Amino acid sequence: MKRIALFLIVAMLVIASVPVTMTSGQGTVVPQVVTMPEQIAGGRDVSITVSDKPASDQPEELAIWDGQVAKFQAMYPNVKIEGLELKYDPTAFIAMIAGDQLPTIFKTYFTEPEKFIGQDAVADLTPYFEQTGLSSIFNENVLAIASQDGGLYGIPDFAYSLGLAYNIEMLAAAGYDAPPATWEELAEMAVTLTDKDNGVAGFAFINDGSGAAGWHYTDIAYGFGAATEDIIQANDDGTYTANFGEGATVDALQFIHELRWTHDVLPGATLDWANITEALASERVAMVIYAGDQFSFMKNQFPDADLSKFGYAPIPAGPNGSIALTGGSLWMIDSAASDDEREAAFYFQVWRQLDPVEYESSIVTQFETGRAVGQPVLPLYVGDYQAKIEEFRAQYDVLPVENYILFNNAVKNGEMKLQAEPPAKAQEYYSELGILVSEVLSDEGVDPASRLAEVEEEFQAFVLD
Amino acid sequence: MKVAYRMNTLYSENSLISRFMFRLSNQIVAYLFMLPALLVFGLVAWYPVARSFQMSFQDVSLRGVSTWVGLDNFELMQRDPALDIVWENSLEFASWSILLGYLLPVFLAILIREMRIAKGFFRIVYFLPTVVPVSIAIIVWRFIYDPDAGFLNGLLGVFGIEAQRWLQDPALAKPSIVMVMTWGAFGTTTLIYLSSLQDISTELYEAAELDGASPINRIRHITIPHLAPMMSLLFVLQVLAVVQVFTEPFLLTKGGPGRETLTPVLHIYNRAFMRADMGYASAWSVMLVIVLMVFSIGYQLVNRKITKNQGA
Repeated sequence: MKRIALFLIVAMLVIASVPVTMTSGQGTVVPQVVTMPEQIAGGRDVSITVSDKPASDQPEELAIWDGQVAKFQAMYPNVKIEGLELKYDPTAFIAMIAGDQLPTIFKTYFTEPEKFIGQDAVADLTPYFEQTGLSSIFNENVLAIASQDGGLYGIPDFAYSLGLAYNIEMLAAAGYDAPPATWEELAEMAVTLTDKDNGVAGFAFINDGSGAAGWHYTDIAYGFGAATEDIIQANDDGTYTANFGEGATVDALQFIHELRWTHDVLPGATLDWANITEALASERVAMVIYAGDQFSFMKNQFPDADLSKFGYAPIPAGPNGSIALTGGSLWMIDSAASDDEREAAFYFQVWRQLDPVEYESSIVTQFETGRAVGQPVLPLYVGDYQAKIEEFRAQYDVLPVENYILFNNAVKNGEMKLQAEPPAKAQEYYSELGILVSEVLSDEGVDPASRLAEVEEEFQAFVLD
Repeated sequence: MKVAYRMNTLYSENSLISRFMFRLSNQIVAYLFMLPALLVFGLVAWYPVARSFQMSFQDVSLRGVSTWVGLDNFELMQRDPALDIVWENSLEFASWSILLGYLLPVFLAILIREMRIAKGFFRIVYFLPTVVPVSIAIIVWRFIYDPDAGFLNGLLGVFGIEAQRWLQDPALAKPSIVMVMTWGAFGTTTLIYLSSLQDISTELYEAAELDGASPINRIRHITIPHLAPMMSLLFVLQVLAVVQVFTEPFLLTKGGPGRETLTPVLHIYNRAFMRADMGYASAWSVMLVIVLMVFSIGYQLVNRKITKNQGA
């Protein structure tokens, strides 16, 4: 009898510890927002190629993919989907555009639409968004990234903003129970947290001279009070003027100069998108400017890292409050695709991204395979749909979401403003400024004010005029 | 028979044509054998070169119609903030590579040649870095150069020398990259010099030894003069290779700090593949070809003059 009671208790505990899995048979939490057409391509045979098919070393993801393809092809027998184990790579994709080899639909980053649209390589998806009414469920800030001159060129599938990741234990050991709220506080705390003898830097951001370094710097500049027009201003006559040679942008670069040469709180190593995570995970740095999705990267790439050690807060505030730049990924469709192919590609993507059953089963699989569910990212959608997917996802959080409350609340309460990109040549601007930041970090003699003025002049002549 | 043929064809009206036809019929099989290779070579080597030249005068649309823009891309180049820096960098890279890497293989080849034992072992040891793939070697070099926890700074620390920022310090970045390039390439060059040294008749050395010449004198009067033509050729090849360097700065520094290690090819790569600006990148490629051609021709002329003077 005792044994039976014990068995029942254990069985109940096991059942209670497993989150409730919703399946199509039981109904879904997430509402249906996409109305699929009865027929695609008028029933004519159509074949499409789709990038980012999971590789065979990811059997669970591959099984989901195969299941989705089979299901979609059963719904629309005239559509044939071929998956490609191809991930976005700028070099390869440029060659693919030139050789007419782009997949019908492919995934790329938020930094790339300008390039693809400029090369007439991607299709305008506005008619499909209008037909489905889907633009109203997407966060408009995110859709703006996929838009140009009134056209909508991509289906965003993921968005994040910059924030401040920090090592909770290191901060606590130095007597801090919260991350810095302002840039001044950050500088003070970084001084305390830096321990050069043991190779520990108080603060870090991407400093490799790439566009990402320019991007991080620009986020600091916005915090110091710069507005978009203080970076690049759109004139009434359709021209653009570079304005970053004076004001808050100079203050921000001066701040970086001081962090490096006066306070000496930055790491000596060159940190790019990937190895800044390594520096954080290996406790070589206490606070970093970080994108929320990089916690997934940390979990996948550094299985030994204890993610509960790291907190995530909004970017420190300046005169303009806390301001964050955004990033993410989106799906674009090859402009060489026929109308039938475009239609099939569009519906395949929105179906597997938004259909309640597909969404829920993908979250469950991520949970079951130990993937990073719960990363602190931006709401991709608005209203009830967003609330419902968050509610569903919350059951499966794997990451220590309690450590991200400061960030998530700031986003929810609108305390952290999401900053739009400069109106033109944003990526070129980030590249140029990345180089300048690297110059400031490597040479004490560089005067931020005069160099920034020079770079502004060069940028105007070389890029904008 | 040969004479009769020559007499017949030499003075006939269609002599040139018939000679050409004769040669063609004689060699047609050879040309047919060469055709596939010629076609492939034309397609993957000369066609891109010609296209690149054409694109340098165009605003290139990868999908739509490219438009002719005359010299616009070359005029834009004059406003490029990287223009002067990139060429200064190339000059500095070339100087550093000559300083650090040019004489090292000559020295090692002579040393190995003079060795009496374990010659084969040293040949392998010096050649080993060449077989390591560049991308793997660069990961290792990144660990070596790491300013916070790198092997090199650790080693310097043992001797009480302050840690250096090898790839982040503008003064050290170029020589640090040249070290990596030299490390990867000197094995092959050493072997080339060694094989050239094998051609020297041992009798010359024996005669010199009998006359009481010291090893230094033997090297000065026999080895170096023999290696001179090869050294001259490898000098040109080294400068051409260094000016076109891409992999090391791309993987180690991305052209930084600032633009300290930005090279012409890295700049071309950035413009072409990061910015999708094929026309402008092609204009840079054309300029690079012209600069290297001018250097090679100039060097040949100077070299010929020197050789002539020495002959006289």
